[in-house]
Amino acid sequence: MMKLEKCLIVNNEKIALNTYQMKLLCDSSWIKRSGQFVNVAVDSRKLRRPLSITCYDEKHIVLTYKVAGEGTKLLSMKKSGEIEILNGLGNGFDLDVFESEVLVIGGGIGCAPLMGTLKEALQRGLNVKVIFGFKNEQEALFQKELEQLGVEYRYSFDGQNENAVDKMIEMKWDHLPFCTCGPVAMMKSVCEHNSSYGLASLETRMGCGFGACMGCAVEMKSGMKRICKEGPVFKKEEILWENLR
Amino acid sequence: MGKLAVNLSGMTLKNPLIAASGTYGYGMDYLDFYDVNLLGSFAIKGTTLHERKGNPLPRISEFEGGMLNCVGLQNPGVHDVIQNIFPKLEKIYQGQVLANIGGFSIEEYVECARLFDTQPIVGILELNISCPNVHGGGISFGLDIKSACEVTKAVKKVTHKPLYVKCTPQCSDLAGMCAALEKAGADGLVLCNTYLGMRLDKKSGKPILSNITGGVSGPGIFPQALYKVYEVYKEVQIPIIGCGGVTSADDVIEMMSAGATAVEIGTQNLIDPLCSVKIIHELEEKCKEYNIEKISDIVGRAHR
Repeated sequence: MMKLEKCLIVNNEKIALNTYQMKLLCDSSWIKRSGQFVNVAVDSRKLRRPLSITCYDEKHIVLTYKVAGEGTKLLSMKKSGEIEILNGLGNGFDLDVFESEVLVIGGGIGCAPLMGTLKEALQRGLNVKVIFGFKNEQEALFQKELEQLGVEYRYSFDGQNENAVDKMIEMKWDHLPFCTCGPVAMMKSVCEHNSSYGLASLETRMGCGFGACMGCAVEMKSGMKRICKEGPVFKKEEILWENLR
Repeated sequence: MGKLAVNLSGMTLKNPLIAASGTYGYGMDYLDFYDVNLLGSFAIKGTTLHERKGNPLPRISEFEGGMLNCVGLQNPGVHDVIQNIFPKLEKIYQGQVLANIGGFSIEEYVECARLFDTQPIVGILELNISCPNVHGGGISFGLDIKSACEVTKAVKKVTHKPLYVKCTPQCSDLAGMCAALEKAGADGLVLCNTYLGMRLDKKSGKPILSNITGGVSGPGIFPQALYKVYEVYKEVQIPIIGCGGVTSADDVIEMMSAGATAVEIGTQNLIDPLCSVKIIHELEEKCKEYNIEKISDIVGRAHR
Protein backbone atom coordinates (compact mmCIF):
# COMPACT_ATOMS: atom_id res chain seq x y z
CA MET A 1 0.00 0.00 0.00
CA MET A 2 1.08 3.52 -0.76
CA LYS A 3 -0.17 6.73 0.72
CA LEU A 4 -0.36 10.36 -0.31
CA GLU A 5 0.76 12.32 2.70
CA LYS A 6 1.49 15.90 3.71
CA CYS A 7 4.55 16.04 5.98
CA LEU A 8 6.35 18.73 7.91
CA ILE A 9 9.97 19.37 7.05
CA VAL A 10 11.97 18.97 10.27
CA ASN A 11 15.25 19.89 8.62
CA ASN A 12 16.91 19.88 5.21
CA GLU A 13 20.66 20.33 5.32
CA LYS A 14 23.68 19.98 3.12
CA ILE A 15 25.75 17.01 4.28
CA ALA A 16 28.31 16.68 1.47
CA LEU A 17 29.13 18.15 -1.92
CA ASN A 18 25.80 18.65 -3.79
CA THR A 19 24.15 16.30 -1.31
CA TYR A 20 21.34 17.10 1.10
CA GLN A 21 19.54 15.26 3.84
CA MET A 22 15.91 16.00 4.66
CA LYS A 23 14.05 14.79 7.71
CA LEU A 24 10.26 14.68 7.50
CA LEU A 25 7.63 14.24 10.17
CA CYS A 26 5.28 11.61 8.77
CA ASP A 27 3.55 8.30 9.21
CA SER A 28 6.20 5.71 8.43
CA SER A 29 3.85 2.76 8.92
CA TRP A 30 3.48 2.67 5.13
CA ILE A 31 7.09 1.63 4.79
CA LYS A 32 7.53 -2.13 4.97
CA ARG A 33 11.13 -2.62 3.90
CA SER A 34 14.34 -0.73 3.39
CA GLY A 35 14.93 0.15 -0.26
CA GLN A 36 11.41 1.48 -0.76
CA PHE A 37 11.10 5.07 -1.89
CA VAL A 38 8.92 8.15 -1.75
CA ASN A 39 7.86 10.47 -4.56
CA VAL A 40 8.21 14.07 -3.46
CA ALA A 41 6.16 16.97 -4.84
CA VAL A 42 8.58 19.85 -5.40
CA ASP A 43 5.98 22.14 -6.97
CA SER A 44 2.51 21.81 -8.45
CA ARG A 45 3.77 21.78 -12.05
CA LYS A 46 6.65 19.32 -11.91
CA LEU A 47 6.69 15.56 -11.85
CA ARG A 48 7.45 14.33 -8.36
CA ARG A 49 11.01 13.39 -7.50
CA PRO A 50 11.55 9.76 -6.55
CA LEU A 51 13.89 9.68 -3.54
CA SER A 52 15.12 6.66 -1.64
CA ILE A 53 14.51 6.38 2.09
CA THR A 54 17.75 6.47 4.08
CA CYS A 55 16.18 5.51 7.38
CA TYR A 56 13.00 5.91 9.35
CA ASP A 57 11.49 5.61 12.80
CA GLU A 58 7.83 5.64 13.85
CA LYS A 59 7.30 9.33 13.17
CA HIS A 60 10.06 10.34 10.78
CA ILE A 61 11.68 9.48 7.53
CA VAL A 62 15.07 10.67 6.38
CA LEU A 63 15.81 11.23 2.69
CA THR A 64 19.31 11.76 1.30
CA TYR A 65 19.46 13.20 -2.19
CA LYS A 66 21.84 14.67 -4.68
CA VAL A 67 21.05 17.96 -6.39
CA ALA A 68 20.99 16.83 -10.02
CA GLY A 69 18.63 19.27 -11.73
CA GLU A 70 15.94 21.91 -11.27
CA GLY A 71 13.63 19.74 -9.16
CA THR A 72 16.17 18.66 -6.58
CA LYS A 73 17.62 22.19 -6.53
CA LEU A 74 14.17 23.54 -5.60
CA LEU A 75 13.84 20.80 -3.00
CA SER A 76 17.19 21.71 -1.42
CA MET A 77 15.87 25.24 -0.82
CA LYS A 78 12.82 24.11 1.15
CA LYS A 79 13.91 24.46 4.75
CA SER A 80 10.59 24.30 6.57
CA GLY A 81 6.85 23.98 6.07
CA GLU A 82 4.81 21.24 4.47
CA ILE A 83 5.70 18.96 1.62
CA GLU A 84 3.55 16.30 -0.01
CA ILE A 85 4.94 12.84 -0.61
CA LEU A 86 3.73 9.55 -1.98
CA ASN A 87 4.90 7.19 0.71
CA GLY A 88 5.71 3.47 0.73
CA LEU A 89 6.51 3.02 -2.98
CA GLY A 90 8.29 0.06 -4.55
CA ASN A 91 9.21 -3.38 -3.23
CA GLY A 92 12.40 -2.78 -1.21
CA PHE A 93 15.05 -5.30 -0.19
CA ASP A 94 13.70 -8.64 0.99
CA LEU A 95 16.20 -9.58 3.69
CA ASP A 96 14.42 -12.85 4.60
CA VAL A 97 16.62 -14.70 2.13
CA PHE A 98 19.88 -13.74 3.83
CA GLU A 99 20.68 -16.43 6.40
CA SER A 100 23.77 -15.29 8.25
CA GLU A 101 25.66 -12.62 6.36
CA VAL A 102 25.23 -9.87 3.83
CA LEU A 103 27.52 -7.55 1.91
CA VAL A 104 26.05 -4.10 1.42
CA ILE A 105 27.82 -2.48 -1.51
CA GLY A 106 26.88 0.94 -2.85
CA GLY A 107 28.10 3.75 -5.04
CA GLY A 108 27.46 7.50 -4.70
CA ILE A 109 23.93 8.49 -3.77
CA GLY A 110 23.04 4.78 -4.15
CA CYS A 111 24.50 4.34 -0.66
CA ALA A 112 21.52 6.24 0.77
CA PRO A 113 18.89 3.45 0.71
CA LEU A 114 21.53 0.93 1.77
CA MET A 115 21.92 2.67 5.15
CA GLY A 116 18.41 1.49 5.98
CA THR A 117 19.19 -1.94 4.59
CA LEU A 118 22.32 -2.45 6.66
CA LYS A 119 20.57 -1.27 9.83
CA GLU A 120 17.72 -3.71 9.19
CA ALA A 121 20.27 -6.46 8.55
CA LEU A 122 22.03 -5.70 11.85
CA GLN A 123 18.70 -5.79 13.69
CA ARG A 124 18.10 -9.22 12.19
CA GLY A 125 21.42 -10.36 13.62
CA LEU A 126 23.14 -10.74 10.27
CA ASN A 127 26.88 -10.35 9.94
CA VAL A 128 27.13 -7.19 7.82
CA LYS A 129 30.04 -5.99 5.67
CA VAL A 130 29.89 -2.65 3.90
CA ILE A 131 31.66 -1.16 0.88
CA PHE A 132 30.74 2.35 -0.16
CA GLY A 133 32.32 3.95 -3.23
CA PHE A 134 32.39 7.68 -3.95
CA LYS A 135 33.98 9.96 -6.50
CA ASN A 136 36.06 11.68 -3.86
CA GLU A 137 36.18 12.43 -0.15
CA GLN A 138 34.07 15.59 -0.55
CA GLU A 139 31.14 13.47 -1.71
CA ALA A 140 31.58 10.71 0.87
CA LEU A 141 28.54 9.94 3.01
CA PHE A 142 27.61 8.13 6.22
CA GLN A 143 31.12 7.50 7.65
CA LYS A 144 30.09 8.74 11.12
CA GLU A 145 26.97 6.54 11.11
CA LEU A 146 28.94 3.47 10.07
CA GLU A 147 31.45 4.10 12.87
CA GLN A 148 28.61 4.38 15.38
CA LEU A 149 27.03 1.16 14.16
CA GLY A 150 30.34 -0.61 14.67
CA VAL A 151 30.00 -2.42 11.38
CA GLU A 152 33.01 -3.52 9.31
CA TYR A 153 33.24 -1.17 6.34
CA ARG A 154 35.56 0.01 3.56
CA TYR A 155 35.40 3.13 1.40
CA SER A 156 36.72 3.45 -2.12
CA PHE A 157 37.32 6.68 -4.00
CA ASP A 158 37.41 6.97 -7.79
CA GLY A 159 39.80 9.90 -7.40
CA GLN A 160 42.32 7.58 -5.75
CA ASN A 161 42.05 5.04 -8.55
CA GLU A 162 39.96 2.71 -6.45
CA ASN A 163 36.60 1.13 -7.06
CA ALA A 164 34.05 -0.72 -4.98
CA VAL A 165 34.36 -3.97 -6.94
CA ASP A 166 38.17 -4.16 -6.57
CA LYS A 167 37.64 -3.51 -2.87
CA MET A 168 35.14 -6.38 -2.69
CA ILE A 169 37.65 -8.74 -4.31
CA GLU A 170 40.56 -7.45 -2.23
CA MET A 171 38.59 -8.00 1.01
CA LYS A 172 37.59 -11.50 -0.20
CA TRP A 173 33.95 -10.50 0.26
CA ASP A 174 33.09 -11.56 -3.28
CA HIS A 175 31.46 -14.78 -2.09
CA LEU A 176 29.04 -12.98 0.27
CA PRO A 177 25.38 -12.63 -0.67
CA PHE A 178 24.80 -8.95 -1.32
CA CYS A 179 22.55 -5.94 -1.68
CA THR A 180 23.71 -3.23 -4.06
CA CYS A 181 22.63 0.20 -5.25
CA GLY A 182 24.56 2.71 -7.32
CA PRO A 183 25.56 3.49 -10.88
CA VAL A 184 24.55 0.82 -13.42
CA ALA A 185 28.16 0.05 -14.40
CA MET A 186 29.10 -0.53 -10.77
CA MET A 187 26.12 -2.76 -9.98
CA LYS A 188 26.65 -4.77 -13.15
CA SER A 189 30.28 -5.32 -12.21
CA VAL A 190 29.37 -6.30 -8.66
CA CYS A 191 26.89 -8.86 -10.01
CA GLU A 192 29.49 -10.26 -12.42
CA HIS A 193 32.27 -10.53 -9.85
CA ASN A 194 30.23 -11.90 -6.99
CA SER A 195 29.01 -15.45 -7.51
CA SER A 196 26.58 -15.39 -4.59
CA TYR A 197 22.91 -14.43 -4.35
CA GLY A 198 22.38 -10.73 -4.94
CA LEU A 199 19.78 -7.99 -5.04
CA ALA A 200 20.22 -4.72 -6.95
CA SER A 201 18.16 -1.56 -6.62
CA LEU A 202 17.67 0.23 -9.94
CA GLU A 203 16.99 3.83 -10.81
CA THR A 204 15.61 5.60 -13.86
CA ARG A 205 13.56 8.65 -14.83
CA MET A 206 10.01 8.06 -13.65
CA GLY A 207 6.65 9.57 -14.50
CA CYS A 208 4.14 8.73 -11.79
CA GLY A 209 6.13 6.49 -9.42
CA PHE A 210 3.18 4.18 -8.71
CA GLY A 211 2.81 2.07 -11.83
CA ALA A 212 0.30 3.94 -13.97
CA CYS A 213 2.35 5.49 -16.77
CA MET A 214 4.90 2.83 -17.84
CA GLY A 215 7.52 5.58 -17.97
CA CYS A 216 10.02 3.42 -16.08
CA ALA A 217 9.14 0.00 -17.50
CA VAL A 218 12.02 -2.07 -18.83
CA GLU A 219 12.44 -5.57 -20.16
CA MET A 220 13.81 -8.07 -17.65
CA LYS A 221 14.41 -11.81 -18.16
CA SER A 222 10.84 -12.62 -17.12
CA GLY A 223 9.19 -9.82 -19.11
CA MET A 224 8.40 -6.14 -18.83
CA LYS A 225 8.76 -4.73 -15.28
CA ARG A 226 8.00 -1.31 -13.88
CA ILE A 227 11.01 -0.16 -11.85
CA CYS A 228 8.67 1.86 -9.61
CA LYS A 229 6.23 -0.95 -8.88
CA GLU A 230 7.76 -4.41 -9.36
CA GLY A 231 11.12 -2.84 -8.41
CA PRO A 232 13.22 -0.94 -7.71
CA VAL A 233 14.91 -4.03 -6.22
CA PHE A 234 15.46 -7.03 -8.50
CA LYS A 235 17.34 -10.31 -8.18
CA LYS A 236 20.61 -10.05 -10.08
CA GLU A 237 19.79 -12.94 -12.43
CA GLU A 238 16.57 -11.19 -13.46
CA ILE A 239 18.27 -8.03 -14.76
CA LEU A 240 19.14 -7.47 -18.42
CA TRP A 241 21.87 -4.88 -17.90
CA GLU A 242 22.01 -3.81 -21.55
CA ASN A 243 18.46 -2.40 -21.18
CA LEU A 244 19.42 -0.01 -18.38
CA ARG A 245 20.68 3.44 -19.12
CA MET B 1 -28.51 13.37 -13.22
CA GLY B 2 -26.40 16.01 -11.54
CA LYS B 3 -25.39 19.35 -12.94
CA LEU B 4 -21.99 18.01 -14.02
CA ALA B 5 -23.40 15.21 -16.19
CA VAL B 6 -22.53 15.09 -19.87
CA ASN B 7 -23.46 12.76 -22.69
CA LEU B 8 -21.10 11.29 -25.26
CA SER B 9 -22.99 9.53 -28.05
CA GLY B 10 -25.45 7.97 -25.63
CA MET B 11 -22.91 7.20 -22.90
CA THR B 12 -23.79 9.29 -19.86
CA LEU B 13 -20.89 10.49 -17.72
CA LYS B 14 -21.66 11.79 -14.22
CA ASN B 15 -19.06 14.49 -14.82
CA PRO B 16 -16.99 15.58 -17.83
CA LEU B 17 -13.66 14.27 -16.46
CA ILE B 18 -11.99 11.41 -18.28
CA ALA B 19 -8.51 10.19 -17.35
CA ALA B 20 -6.43 10.21 -20.53
CA SER B 21 -4.99 7.08 -22.03
CA GLY B 22 -1.44 6.30 -20.99
CA THR B 23 -1.67 8.09 -17.66
CA TYR B 24 -4.16 5.76 -16.07
CA GLY B 25 -3.04 2.24 -16.93
CA TYR B 26 -6.11 0.01 -16.84
CA GLY B 27 -7.63 1.83 -13.87
CA MET B 28 -6.16 -0.33 -11.13
CA ASP B 29 -3.17 1.84 -10.19
CA TYR B 30 -5.21 4.63 -8.60
CA LEU B 31 -7.21 2.42 -6.23
CA ASP B 32 -5.01 3.30 -3.25
CA PHE B 33 -5.95 6.96 -3.78
CA TYR B 34 -9.67 7.02 -4.57
CA ASP B 35 -12.66 5.17 -5.99
CA VAL B 36 -12.30 5.15 -9.78
CA ASN B 37 -16.11 5.34 -10.05
CA LEU B 38 -15.87 9.03 -9.10
CA LEU B 39 -14.53 9.84 -12.56
CA GLY B 40 -16.69 10.52 -15.59
CA SER B 41 -14.72 7.72 -17.21
CA PHE B 42 -11.19 6.80 -18.19
CA ALA B 43 -9.39 5.78 -21.36
CA ILE B 44 -7.42 2.57 -21.02
CA LYS B 45 -3.75 2.32 -21.95
CA GLY B 46 -3.33 2.27 -25.74
CA THR B 47 -3.90 -1.35 -26.67
CA THR B 48 -2.69 -3.16 -29.78
CA LEU B 49 -3.53 -6.55 -31.25
CA HIS B 50 -0.32 -8.11 -29.98
CA GLU B 51 1.76 -7.43 -26.88
CA ARG B 52 4.19 -4.53 -27.28
CA LYS B 53 7.25 -3.93 -25.16
CA GLY B 54 7.50 -0.26 -26.07
CA ASN B 55 10.68 1.77 -26.25
CA PRO B 56 13.88 1.39 -24.20
CA LEU B 57 14.67 3.68 -21.25
CA PRO B 58 14.77 6.62 -20.79
CA ARG B 59 11.14 7.16 -21.68
CA ILE B 60 10.50 10.32 -19.67
CA SER B 61 11.87 13.84 -19.77
CA GLU B 62 10.61 17.20 -18.55
CA PHE B 63 10.38 20.85 -19.46
CA GLU B 64 9.18 23.94 -17.63
CA GLY B 65 5.59 23.43 -18.81
CA GLY B 66 5.24 19.69 -18.43
CA MET B 67 6.83 16.51 -19.69
CA LEU B 68 7.76 14.38 -22.68
CA ASN B 69 7.29 10.65 -23.00
CA CYS B 70 8.28 7.98 -25.49
CA VAL B 71 6.72 4.94 -23.81
CA GLY B 72 5.81 3.61 -27.26
CA LEU B 73 2.48 1.83 -26.69
CA GLN B 74 3.73 -0.78 -24.23
CA ASN B 75 0.74 -3.02 -23.56
CA PRO B 76 -0.05 -6.69 -23.05
CA GLY B 77 -2.19 -6.99 -26.20
CA VAL B 78 -5.95 -6.99 -26.64
CA HIS B 79 -6.46 -10.67 -25.77
CA ASP B 80 -4.75 -10.30 -22.40
CA VAL B 81 -6.70 -7.11 -21.68
CA ILE B 82 -10.01 -8.87 -22.37
CA GLN B 83 -9.18 -12.15 -20.65
CA ASN B 84 -7.22 -10.99 -17.62
CA ILE B 85 -7.62 -7.26 -17.01
CA PHE B 86 -11.27 -6.52 -17.76
CA PRO B 87 -12.62 -9.21 -15.36
CA LYS B 88 -10.62 -7.58 -12.53
CA LEU B 89 -11.67 -4.09 -13.57
CA GLU B 90 -15.34 -5.08 -13.71
CA LYS B 91 -15.18 -5.99 -10.02
CA ILE B 92 -14.21 -2.48 -8.98
CA TYR B 93 -15.61 -0.28 -11.73
CA GLN B 94 -19.30 -0.05 -12.59
CA GLY B 95 -19.00 2.39 -15.50
CA GLN B 96 -17.76 2.01 -19.03
CA VAL B 97 -14.31 2.89 -20.35
CA LEU B 98 -12.92 4.35 -23.54
CA ALA B 99 -10.93 1.58 -25.17
CA ASN B 100 -7.89 3.21 -26.76
CA ILE B 101 -6.77 1.20 -29.80
CA GLY B 102 -3.33 1.53 -31.36
CA GLY B 103 -2.11 -0.13 -34.51
CA PHE B 104 0.32 -0.44 -37.39
CA SER B 105 -2.09 -1.50 -40.14
CA ILE B 106 -5.78 -1.09 -40.90
CA GLU B 107 -6.23 -4.83 -40.31
CA GLU B 108 -4.74 -4.57 -36.84
CA TYR B 109 -7.00 -1.67 -35.83
CA VAL B 110 -10.01 -3.55 -37.22
CA GLU B 111 -9.23 -6.78 -35.38
CA CYS B 112 -8.69 -4.92 -32.11
CA ALA B 113 -11.97 -3.04 -32.54
CA ARG B 114 -13.82 -6.26 -33.38
CA LEU B 115 -12.58 -7.89 -30.18
CA PHE B 116 -13.43 -4.89 -28.00
CA ASP B 117 -16.87 -4.65 -29.60
CA THR B 118 -18.12 -7.64 -27.60
CA GLN B 119 -17.05 -6.15 -24.25
CA PRO B 120 -19.81 -4.54 -22.18
CA ILE B 121 -17.25 -2.54 -20.17
CA VAL B 122 -16.22 -0.69 -23.35
CA GLY B 123 -18.45 2.33 -23.86
CA ILE B 124 -16.51 4.09 -26.58
CA LEU B 125 -13.69 3.06 -28.91
CA GLU B 126 -10.93 5.64 -28.93
CA LEU B 127 -9.08 5.20 -32.20
CA ASN B 128 -5.50 6.25 -31.58
CA ILE B 129 -4.06 7.41 -34.89
CA SER B 130 -1.82 9.90 -33.16
CA CYS B 131 0.82 8.08 -31.07
CA PRO B 132 4.07 9.93 -31.84
CA ASN B 133 6.31 7.25 -30.33
CA VAL B 134 6.01 4.28 -32.65
CA HIS B 135 7.44 3.84 -36.11
CA GLY B 136 5.26 2.94 -39.08
CA GLY B 137 1.94 3.23 -37.27
CA GLY B 138 0.08 5.55 -34.96
CA ILE B 139 0.73 9.12 -36.02
CA SER B 140 1.41 8.19 -39.67
CA PHE B 141 -2.34 7.49 -40.02
CA GLY B 142 -3.20 10.72 -38.26
CA LEU B 143 -1.15 12.99 -40.50
CA ASP B 144 -2.79 11.95 -43.76
CA ILE B 145 -6.50 12.60 -44.30
CA LYS B 146 -6.93 9.70 -46.75
CA SER B 147 -5.32 7.10 -44.44
CA ALA B 148 -7.18 8.46 -41.41
CA CYS B 149 -10.52 8.16 -43.20
CA GLU B 150 -9.73 4.67 -44.48
CA VAL B 151 -8.96 3.31 -41.02
CA THR B 152 -11.98 5.09 -39.54
CA LYS B 153 -14.33 3.62 -42.17
CA ALA B 154 -12.87 0.15 -41.76
CA VAL B 155 -13.18 0.19 -37.97
CA LYS B 156 -16.66 1.69 -38.09
CA LYS B 157 -17.81 -1.31 -40.15
CA VAL B 158 -16.97 -3.83 -37.41
CA THR B 159 -18.14 -2.03 -34.30
CA HIS B 160 -21.46 -1.18 -32.69
CA LYS B 161 -19.74 1.12 -30.20
CA PRO B 162 -19.39 4.87 -30.74
CA LEU B 163 -16.08 5.50 -32.48
CA TYR B 164 -14.04 8.51 -31.34
CA VAL B 165 -10.86 9.34 -33.23
CA LYS B 166 -7.95 10.69 -31.19
CA CYS B 167 -6.12 13.08 -33.49
CA THR B 168 -2.63 14.48 -33.53
CA PRO B 169 -2.10 18.23 -33.26
CA GLN B 170 0.81 17.74 -35.69
CA CYS B 171 -1.70 17.44 -38.56
CA SER B 172 -1.27 20.52 -40.78
CA ASP B 173 -5.00 20.86 -41.49
CA LEU B 174 -6.69 19.53 -38.38
CA ALA B 175 -10.06 21.17 -39.06
CA GLY B 176 -10.09 19.66 -42.56
CA MET B 177 -9.00 16.30 -41.14
CA CYS B 178 -11.77 16.32 -38.55
CA ALA B 179 -14.48 17.32 -41.04
CA ALA B 180 -13.33 14.42 -43.24
CA LEU B 181 -13.35 12.02 -40.27
CA GLU B 182 -16.92 13.03 -39.48
CA LYS B 183 -17.91 12.19 -43.07
CA ALA B 184 -16.02 8.91 -42.79
CA GLY B 185 -18.25 7.89 -39.89
CA ALA B 186 -16.47 9.05 -36.73
CA ASP B 187 -18.95 9.53 -33.88
CA GLY B 188 -16.67 11.90 -32.01
CA LEU B 189 -13.17 13.33 -31.75
CA VAL B 190 -10.50 13.50 -29.08
CA LEU B 191 -8.41 16.65 -29.52
CA CYS B 192 -5.57 16.10 -29.17
CA ASN B 193 -2.78 13.68 -28.45
CA THR B 194 0.70 15.00 -27.56
CA TYR B 195 2.88 17.34 -29.62
CA LEU B 196 6.23 16.12 -30.93
CA GLY B 197 9.24 17.44 -29.11
CA MET B 198 12.66 16.62 -27.74
CA ARG B 199 15.17 17.49 -25.02
CA LEU B 200 18.94 17.27 -25.08
CA ASP B 201 21.21 16.38 -22.23
CA LYS B 202 23.02 19.50 -21.03
CA LYS B 203 26.38 17.80 -20.60
CA SER B 204 26.53 15.51 -23.64
CA GLY B 205 24.29 17.48 -26.00
CA LYS B 206 22.63 14.19 -26.97
CA PRO B 207 18.87 13.42 -26.89
CA ILE B 208 17.60 12.40 -23.46
CA LEU B 209 14.81 10.15 -24.72
CA SER B 210 15.70 6.76 -26.19
CA ASN B 211 13.42 7.44 -29.15
CA ILE B 212 15.07 10.87 -29.66
CA THR B 213 11.63 12.53 -29.81
CA GLY B 214 8.69 12.21 -27.46
CA GLY B 215 5.15 13.42 -26.96
CA VAL B 216 4.95 16.78 -25.21
CA SER B 217 2.17 17.10 -22.64
CA GLY B 218 1.28 19.09 -19.54
CA PRO B 219 0.11 22.61 -18.70
CA GLY B 220 2.48 24.19 -21.24
CA ILE B 221 0.39 22.92 -24.17
CA PHE B 222 -3.01 23.98 -22.81
CA PRO B 223 -3.48 27.13 -24.94
CA GLN B 224 -2.60 25.22 -28.11
CA ALA B 225 -4.91 22.30 -27.27
CA LEU B 226 -7.69 24.75 -26.43
CA TYR B 227 -7.25 26.45 -29.79
CA LYS B 228 -7.46 23.12 -31.65
CA VAL B 229 -10.80 22.39 -29.96
CA TYR B 230 -12.05 25.90 -30.77
CA GLU B 231 -10.96 25.65 -34.38
CA VAL B 232 -12.44 22.19 -35.03
CA TYR B 233 -15.72 22.88 -33.21
CA LYS B 234 -16.64 25.30 -36.00
CA GLU B 235 -16.26 22.59 -38.63
CA VAL B 236 -17.99 19.53 -37.13
CA GLN B 237 -21.29 18.48 -35.55
CA ILE B 238 -19.94 15.46 -33.63
CA PRO B 239 -18.86 15.73 -29.96
CA ILE B 240 -15.28 16.68 -29.09
CA ILE B 241 -13.35 15.50 -26.05
CA GLY B 242 -10.79 18.20 -25.21
CA CYS B 243 -7.36 17.00 -24.15
CA GLY B 244 -4.06 18.75 -23.48
CA GLY B 245 -2.60 20.41 -20.41
CA VAL B 246 -5.77 20.55 -18.32
CA THR B 247 -4.88 20.98 -14.65
CA SER B 248 -7.82 22.75 -13.00
CA ALA B 249 -11.61 23.18 -13.00
CA ASP B 250 -11.14 26.52 -14.76
CA ASP B 251 -9.25 24.73 -17.54
CA VAL B 252 -12.13 22.26 -17.85
CA ILE B 253 -14.60 25.12 -18.15
CA GLU B 254 -12.43 26.82 -20.77
CA MET B 255 -12.12 23.61 -22.81
CA MET B 256 -15.88 23.09 -22.70
CA SER B 257 -16.54 26.72 -23.61
CA ALA B 258 -14.30 26.26 -26.65
CA GLY B 259 -16.41 23.32 -27.75
CA ALA B 260 -15.50 20.20 -25.78
CA THR B 261 -18.35 18.04 -24.45
CA ALA B 262 -15.95 16.29 -22.06
CA VAL B 263 -12.32 16.71 -21.06
CA GLU B 264 -9.41 14.33 -20.67
CA ILE B 265 -6.80 14.83 -17.96
CA GLY B 266 -3.41 13.26 -18.53
CA THR B 267 -0.10 14.51 -17.22
CA GLN B 268 -1.61 16.13 -14.15
CA ASN B 269 -2.66 12.65 -12.93
CA LEU B 270 1.03 11.78 -12.71
CA ILE B 271 1.98 15.01 -10.94
CA ASP B 272 -0.92 14.80 -8.50
CA PRO B 273 -2.71 11.45 -8.47
CA LEU B 274 -5.65 13.06 -6.67
CA CYS B 275 -6.09 15.87 -9.21
CA SER B 276 -9.13 14.42 -10.98
CA VAL B 277 -11.23 14.13 -7.82
CA LYS B 278 -10.03 17.55 -6.68
CA ILE B 279 -11.09 19.03 -10.03
CA ILE B 280 -14.52 17.35 -9.88
CA HIS B 281 -15.07 18.88 -6.46
CA GLU B 282 -13.76 22.23 -7.66
CA LEU B 283 -16.06 22.11 -10.70
CA GLU B 284 -19.13 22.04 -8.46
CA GLU B 285 -17.86 25.19 -6.73
CA LYS B 286 -16.97 26.94 -10.00
CA CYS B 287 -20.41 26.21 -11.48
CA LYS B 288 -21.92 28.05 -8.51
CA GLU B 289 -19.43 30.89 -8.82
CA TYR B 290 -20.06 31.38 -12.56
CA ASN B 291 -23.82 30.75 -12.36
CA ILE B 292 -23.62 27.66 -14.55
CA GLU B 293 -26.80 25.64 -14.08
CA LYS B 294 -25.79 22.59 -16.08
CA ILE B 295 -22.23 22.20 -17.24
CA SER B 296 -23.37 20.84 -20.60
CA ASP B 297 -24.94 24.27 -21.27
CA ILE B 298 -21.52 25.86 -21.69
CA VAL B 299 -20.28 23.58 -24.48
CA GLY B 300 -19.19 25.82 -27.34
CA ARG B 301 -20.39 29.05 -25.72
CA ALA B 302 -17.25 30.81 -26.97
CA HIS B 303 -18.79 30.63 -30.44
CA ARG B 304 -22.22 31.98 -29.56
